[in-house]
Amino acid sequence: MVHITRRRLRLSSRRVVQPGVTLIELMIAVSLITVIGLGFAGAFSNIAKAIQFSRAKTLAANLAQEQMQYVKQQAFHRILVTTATVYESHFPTDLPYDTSYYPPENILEGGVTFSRYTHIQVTREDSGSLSYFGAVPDTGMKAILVSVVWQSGNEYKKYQLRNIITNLDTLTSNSVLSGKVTIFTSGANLPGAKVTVAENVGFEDTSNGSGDYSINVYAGNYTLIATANGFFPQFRNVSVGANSTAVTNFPMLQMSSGVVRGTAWYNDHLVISQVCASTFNLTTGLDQEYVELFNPTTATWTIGTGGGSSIVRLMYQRYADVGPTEITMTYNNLTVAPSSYYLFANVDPVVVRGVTRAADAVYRNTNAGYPDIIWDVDNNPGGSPGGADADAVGILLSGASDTMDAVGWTKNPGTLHIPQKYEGAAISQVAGFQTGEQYVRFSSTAGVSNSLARAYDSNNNNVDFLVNSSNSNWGDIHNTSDIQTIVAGTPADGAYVTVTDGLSSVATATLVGNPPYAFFHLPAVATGTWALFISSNDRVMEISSVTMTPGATVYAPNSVTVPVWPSSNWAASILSMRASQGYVTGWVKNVLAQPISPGITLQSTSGESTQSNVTNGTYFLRVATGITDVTANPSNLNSQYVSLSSQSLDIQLGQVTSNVNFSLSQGGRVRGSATRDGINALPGIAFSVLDVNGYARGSGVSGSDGRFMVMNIATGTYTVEPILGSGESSTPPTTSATVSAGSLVDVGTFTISGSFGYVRGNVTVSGKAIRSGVLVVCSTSTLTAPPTINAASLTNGAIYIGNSSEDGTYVLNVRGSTVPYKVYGYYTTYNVTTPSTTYRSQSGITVTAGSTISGVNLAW
Amino acid sequence: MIVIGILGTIFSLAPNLYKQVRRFFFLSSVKTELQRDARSMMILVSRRVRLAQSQSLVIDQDSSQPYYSRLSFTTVNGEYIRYYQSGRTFYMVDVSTRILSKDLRYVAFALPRSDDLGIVSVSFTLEKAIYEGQTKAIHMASERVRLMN
Repeated sequence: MVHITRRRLRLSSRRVVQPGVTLIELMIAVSLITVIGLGFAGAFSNIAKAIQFSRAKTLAANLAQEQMQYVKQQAFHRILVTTATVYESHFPTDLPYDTSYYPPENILEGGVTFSRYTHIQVTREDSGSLSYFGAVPDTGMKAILVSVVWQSGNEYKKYQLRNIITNLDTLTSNSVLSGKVTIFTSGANLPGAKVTVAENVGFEDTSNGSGDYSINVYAGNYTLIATANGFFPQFRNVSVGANSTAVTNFPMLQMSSGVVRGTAWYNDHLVISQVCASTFNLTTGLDQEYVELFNPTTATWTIGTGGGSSIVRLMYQRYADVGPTEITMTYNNLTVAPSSYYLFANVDPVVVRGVTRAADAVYRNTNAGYPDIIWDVDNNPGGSPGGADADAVGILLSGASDTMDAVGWTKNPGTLHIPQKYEGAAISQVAGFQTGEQYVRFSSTAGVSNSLARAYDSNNNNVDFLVNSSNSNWGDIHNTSDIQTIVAGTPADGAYVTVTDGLSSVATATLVGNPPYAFFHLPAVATGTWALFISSNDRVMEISSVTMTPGATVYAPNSVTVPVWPSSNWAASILSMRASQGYVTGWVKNVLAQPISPGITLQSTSGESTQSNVTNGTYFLRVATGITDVTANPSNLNSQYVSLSSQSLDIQLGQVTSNVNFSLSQGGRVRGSATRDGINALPGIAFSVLDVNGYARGSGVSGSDGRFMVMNIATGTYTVEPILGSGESSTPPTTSATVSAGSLVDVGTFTISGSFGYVRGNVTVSGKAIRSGVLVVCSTSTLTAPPTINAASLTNGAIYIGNSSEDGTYVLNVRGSTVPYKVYGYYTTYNVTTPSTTYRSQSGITVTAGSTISGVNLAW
Repeated sequence: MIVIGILGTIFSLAPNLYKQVRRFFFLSSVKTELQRDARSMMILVSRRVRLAQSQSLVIDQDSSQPYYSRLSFTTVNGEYIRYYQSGRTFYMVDVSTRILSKDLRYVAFALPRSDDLGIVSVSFTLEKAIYEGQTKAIHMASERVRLMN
């Protein structure tokens, strides 16, 4: 019995020491599993994204290649050049595309929706590289750009293909225009000059290091234009025969020039313009203190709300304080206007040296230590020495983490105390802020002026402020009723400065002097009257009517510029206007180098427009940032002249894109109409206007009323012909047109037979889109089953065949017919591997040429 | 009790989680596989079709197979080529017969216009059932091919 009991006890004892899973162990295990699981999930997520991206990119490449092949399959003249470029803007570089001839397509493939864009340009080889043009006369080469865009999460992705197609039937350009471009005064070669054929700006070359240029053309009469920065453009009429070379030299005359100088300032925030810690009011017996602000910007700032909440907070931090403390206010005025002051004070009004100023905001008596908050030597909280120390005041925008402006001062009674907040270097003081002392911000680098605004801010307290205790020099106190002229601010070091003269380069303002200021110096500014632009970060200033005479040094702004200088003899440019756009400048002239009157309209892609100057042909266009085209004489607004575009200009905020120049030749328009039967309009037919050498000088497409208009045709005699597809014919096949300046030539009606229309619909099973594909067949005959297709079937009536897409829709391109069509859909299902095809049909579908019949749905 | 509760929760969630993860990765890999197969099929077909002599082109179908699921032609090099569907299998015949896919759901060779043998439209859909037959991965591809001869 004793033996059994002992054995049980041993067994019991073993159970007690048996190791198990404690809650802590389990929690650790769960945590480890969770961490590992999350790691795996993250890794798998990234792998899945990479796989998805790879799949989408492959599909995008397929779609781009398909469109490229489709476009290139067409005859050269059927590939229509984009006339109105639109840009897709989800990428750092905008993607151009056509919305009229090749409208964007949304394609669902592999579960991803792709947008496919097409853009066609005329192109031409120039000095070993390709130049791209908009709707200019044919050069025999076109550039096709296909972009496919899709979304991966929130991110946009793209795949692009660019290809060049040449016109195999074009006439050989076996004549050569060549010559040398030199500097007239020295005879030296001038490389980089652009020589262009006015009649076809696609024909161009850039002079090489020896000043030579060479342009292959076909025989004819041309106007050559040579342009180079800093030189007057030159124009020459030249004739060249077949298989021969016409040599034309351009001795370029340099423009006279002078120098433009000035200073640039950047004002984007309020500044503390004066601080006074203690001045005794004899009337009230109060120790007055105040902080004065100045608004050097062009905006009105709200300081506080009607409910007493602060927007611009006045902060104070003593040397020993852990952090700054807001001095709370009762507001008499809530805002501060541009070029005006704002006065915080511990008393209202403030009376100093007989001058009374109303406080715009008054310290609340609930502030700790009120009314002596900013300590001076009179404050004596702990006995000797005085309370003044290395302190600081600042202004802080509500919700911001850093001060808008701050002023700090040191104390150096043997041991230097540095304040906890200041700009550059604190105001150097030995005893700290003293009674009757004021710190006044400079009006300019020349110091404090009671007639000019206290706006100078080099971000260095010890440089920017005057420490003043002299009665004779006492700085006035200002409030919201005071407005003063600004001649300074923060030196705009690095600001870009440009002049619209087409000769000078971009200059940069740099810091000079002590106190420092940003000085700019533009040499070689062409003689004439120009606009000057200064930009720094997001601020910009435009000064127009800057007149330059040969050899002169002109300061800008000055008394005759717009705007004039802020104060007499202050050539100070205050960049307080926020830039929201960029700028394009250049000139528009006719082929005789003369400005055109009335002025020519220049228009950007986003619709901004201006007119060229009738005196000198220059223009200045404000445009939205991003990629844009600029068109001179859009839609031939001046019917006497052709229209030209400069494409894909990259416009940066506040910056100037200069030398975007246009030479417009005179021209007119050609119009006509397309019908399917001599009466009814036929839309969608492309027409080409060919010159005597067979080059296309313009093209147009008939609209819904059947009418087409080809604008921008230089004076001369042309052949107008419809660009037809297989099976189409036209009566008449061609017609001729003689275009004179400003004329509108009507070439009559073309009757096109055999043109196409569209049948659209969707395919569904039990109301859901069929994603796997349905064979769709369209015929005027009744089909028991689709016939075998081979060369022999060409003799029978045509049938039109297509497939439904992944989104369950289909489009068939069918020839217009007076006999109604029948549309058949063949849908295959499987019993394991055995296919079973059933069909649905719709009849009585009348498709006329150029029309689209929608809603021809097939349901299973 | 807490330990048992936590372990119970883990063990009850784990199978479902495992099923979902497995299903997700299987679906992803099958989609990728179908796309790869579709692309390689399209390349194999379009490369040869471009070389076809248009006058030799015949579009029809094998017996009891979907319409226009067979394309045969002679290339400019004199090779006789045939592509055709039989059930869910897609074949290519030149000097030998090769299987290009066993996951065929739909194929159609078509001339957008039967009076113009210059352009052939190739369209096919691959489909594969996954995960207990409840879901199907599908991939559709189509391309217009210009005959060069």
